[in-house]
Amino acid sequence: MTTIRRAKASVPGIILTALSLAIFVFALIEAQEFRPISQWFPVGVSAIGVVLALVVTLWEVGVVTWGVSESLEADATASDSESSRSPLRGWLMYMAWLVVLAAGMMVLGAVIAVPVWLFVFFHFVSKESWIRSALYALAALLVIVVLTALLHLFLPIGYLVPSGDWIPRINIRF
Amino acid sequence: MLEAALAALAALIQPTNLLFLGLGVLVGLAAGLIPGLGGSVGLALLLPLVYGMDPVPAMAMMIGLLAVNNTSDTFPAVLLGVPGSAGGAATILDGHPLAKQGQAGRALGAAFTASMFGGIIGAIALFIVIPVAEPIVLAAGSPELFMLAIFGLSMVGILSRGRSPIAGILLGALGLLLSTLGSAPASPEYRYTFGIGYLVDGLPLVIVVMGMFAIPELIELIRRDRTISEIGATLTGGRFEGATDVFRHKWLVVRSSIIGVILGAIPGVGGSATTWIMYGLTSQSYRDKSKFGKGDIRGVIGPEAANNSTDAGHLLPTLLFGVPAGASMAVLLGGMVLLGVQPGPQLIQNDLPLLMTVAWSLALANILGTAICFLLRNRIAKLTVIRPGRLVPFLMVAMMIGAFQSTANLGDLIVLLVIGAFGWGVQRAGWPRAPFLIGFVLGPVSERYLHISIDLYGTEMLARPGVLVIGALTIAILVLGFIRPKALRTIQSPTPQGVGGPIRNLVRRVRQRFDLPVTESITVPANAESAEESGAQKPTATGSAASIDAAKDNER
Repeated sequence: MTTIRRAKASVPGIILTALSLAIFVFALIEAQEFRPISQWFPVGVSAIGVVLALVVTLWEVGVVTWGVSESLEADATASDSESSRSPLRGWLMYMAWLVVLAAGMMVLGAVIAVPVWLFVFFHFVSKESWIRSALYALAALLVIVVLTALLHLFLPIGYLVPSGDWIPRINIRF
Repeated sequence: MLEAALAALAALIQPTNLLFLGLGVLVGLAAGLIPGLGGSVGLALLLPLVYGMDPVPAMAMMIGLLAVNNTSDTFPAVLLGVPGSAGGAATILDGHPLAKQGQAGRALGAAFTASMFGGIIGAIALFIVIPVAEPIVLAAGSPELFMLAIFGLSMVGILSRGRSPIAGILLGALGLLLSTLGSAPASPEYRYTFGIGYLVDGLPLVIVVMGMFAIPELIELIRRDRTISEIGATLTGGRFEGATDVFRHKWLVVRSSIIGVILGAIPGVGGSATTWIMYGLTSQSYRDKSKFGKGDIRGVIGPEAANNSTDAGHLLPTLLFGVPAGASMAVLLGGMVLLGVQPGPQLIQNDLPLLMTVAWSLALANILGTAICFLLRNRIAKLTVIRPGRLVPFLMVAMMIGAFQSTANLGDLIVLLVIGAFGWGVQRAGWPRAPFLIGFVLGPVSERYLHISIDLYGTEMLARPGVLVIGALTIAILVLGFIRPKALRTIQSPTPQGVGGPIRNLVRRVRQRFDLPVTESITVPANAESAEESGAQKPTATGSAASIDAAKDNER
């Protein structure tokens, strides 16, 4: 016999559901401006999305318990693994590092920003020694230069460094 | 068909194409080795290289990566009791005890060999199924293909693990909506761009994949910053003994591989479910099952063969109908679109040799991957002691530069971070991410099929037999997902106890009928982190709970 029991409300789930609902409602309203032939698909998807979001919202806040089974809760508990319980602060810190890397690439260009970022990250976050951090950063720069030359990669050129991408491209036919 | 197969082989064995196949294999082995990465993330990191490549080397590289992803995930599963990917979770039950008994080499040798033959049998299945399925695929019109896309999305949405039974479908709908951003396919206007030039061409797939999967996983890896193995493993002998075990249990390999292909062809049934089903079937198909869970080599061979053959199964709906069976197939589909290759009937009609290239690549990649694992097992085992703090920063840089290759616009980096934040939120909410990606990939295709269907057939499209059958199946799946989630979830429940309940009941009735010993249920730790803590020596908890990253399996 199925035991009806549900996991407690998840704040991230509620936030996500509310966000989804807002997106679908907005998309539904905005789609009214499109030509009919361009409307069908987004309107259809948005309408279904609104219904689904409402149902999931009711589920998340506990109004609806239908469809839950003991195994489902066990699944939910188990899927609530360490990764999904990452502390917000820890996650924000590493996300901030990524934002710094992106900002550095936009301002200084990849050729400068990447080795500097790696050096700082390895030393202060990964707790590597100065020398090892510098070696890793230089190695990464070398790999970037070689791969860019061989594969004709695009590298961000920073706003402050107009000639930031000085790497010549080598033509090798694949 | 034979000419196409031979032409494909001749094209594949060109040195350049083999080089790219080898590159894919190496990246795939590395991605499978490190828990948290896996096929989707590895493929996303390679996708930027696909731009501008010829289809043959690009497909060889992508298939090479996917084919061996489930081969190297055995290393951490056996050595530490932590699977490199969810598909390797079942291997822990007997592989890790074997390692503790000093037979790590034997376990790994058996796993590699079984994986290789599983992959080869999967490739053979592709060669057999493609000509058989060709008339069916070609008979499918736009209405049927549209319904298949909806069916595939529903299956993945319902079967994906998560807190809410329909969160997966909700995210799939969100992915579909996001795919409408940009220029409309049937009229000269832009949707949801708000005057931002960057959004005119929609969001690049590479960025969506990296944001949803790579960012949360990389942050989680470095946040833990724990080596995946404290064992400075030097694997000595035993690997050839393991290979001999595989030949001694050859019919187990064949049986497991065939079942893996069949199950893999069902959208939403991932490698994790397949391996657990195979573990259950394997343990129940022998009279002497006293050593299962304590170091029975058959408990390694069966799941590993199925794990690799599942890839061939996944490729069937992906290539033949353009319906990805899971997240990694969705990324592959996106890669094919980048190459200008449209899966589905057009692929069979216009580019059959490329389809054959996929099958040959699958076979060759499995052979190459196994050879590398055999030869370099000690060096590869040492990779398990690399701290994430040393590896992840490089991967983060690679991800950023890779994302920039999409449009060479700084908007790529901004969108990557925004989607990364969303991906983390989804992960934290316990919702599955694969349906979102599949919805995003299927959106343009679905809309195109819908427009064509309405143009050609109008409302009569709903009366077509194929549409009715597929529609009924879709509704049945959705209803089952609401009314009997437990029954449906047993397909995805990763433990032998929860998986294949009807099959086990059938087996039990057969055994009772013929007075054979009735099986005992097998319990497993609640998750692989428990397995790590308990040393995976004894099962510690019952229930249908997940092994580590089992929820991510569908997301790969």
